[in-house]
Amino acid sequence: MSAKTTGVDLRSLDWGEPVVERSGEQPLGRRTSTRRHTGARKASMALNFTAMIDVVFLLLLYFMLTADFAKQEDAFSLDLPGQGAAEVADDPFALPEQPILVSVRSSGDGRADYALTTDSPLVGELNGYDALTTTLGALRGDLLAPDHEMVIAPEPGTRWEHTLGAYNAVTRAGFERVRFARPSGG
Amino acid sequence: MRSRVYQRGATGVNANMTPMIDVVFLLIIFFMLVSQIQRARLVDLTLPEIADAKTDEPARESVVVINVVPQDREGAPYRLGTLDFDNDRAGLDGLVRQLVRERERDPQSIVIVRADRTETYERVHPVLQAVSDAGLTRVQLLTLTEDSER
Repeated sequence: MSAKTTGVDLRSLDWGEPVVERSGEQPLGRRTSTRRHTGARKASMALNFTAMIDVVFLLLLYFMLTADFAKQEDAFSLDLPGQGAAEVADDPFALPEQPILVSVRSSGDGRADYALTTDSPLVGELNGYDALTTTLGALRGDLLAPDHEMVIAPEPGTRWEHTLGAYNAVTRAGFERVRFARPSGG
Repeated sequence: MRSRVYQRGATGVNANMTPMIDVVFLLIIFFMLVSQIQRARLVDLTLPEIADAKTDEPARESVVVINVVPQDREGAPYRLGTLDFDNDRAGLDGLVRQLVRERERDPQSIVIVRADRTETYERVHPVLQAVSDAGLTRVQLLTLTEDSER
């Protein structure tokens, strides 16, 4: 006790001591402590690397796990009609208005290799999703009600990305009732 | 030097923070991993990337994820969690039954359909049909977020 209060040197030694002792190197404790009497000043400056690396690795792991490396995904939300939903061509007279059929066909493997056609005389030639959106958007609220039924009818072999592209084009035009047709000939 | 021995005995009562922080971080990581197991059920697919897509955030709660596995991969075409379903009558009936079970558990379940962009519509449609047959109505079709939108 008296040693602690007498000199600055001893005090600094006492501060350094517990740091090294608690590093988990208990078996070596007795031997190193005798050695440390000579190099006490150096020991007091030593960092406790084992514990620090432990914590640093844990932090690294934590941030790697929380980082979202997966590509961001979005979703088209839609309500499927129930089981009783009629086929398009089943009974045209049951509906007050004929749904507009938007056919999609993939002409190749690329993202832009698709063709759109509709069965409506109101819609003319289409050269892409944007054309479909603008044409239908112009008709909406004018000749077509916003809840006019639209049917996406992919032809056999149509790729999923083109199907979704057509769906998106019709949805962007503001139509609320868009559904998918049963695959023809599938 | 003897005094230092006493000193050590006196300060040894202090709480040792380092192992405690270690253990606390480990527990945090453990629980985060456990809560992320659901995400690991996703199959690695290249989702369609739609220009100017009018999409929402995918739902996070009460969801049923159905993956449409591409034809050139091994395994059944339709994967729901750890369950596989074939693209035939028996497989699709099984899928409908499983979806009915999900509906009974939570009638507001949202079915998330993940299909590769190269998939043909004929292979995706049975899933939509099964969802409809099971009496579920809320569906989400997943796409890839466009880079330009980020």
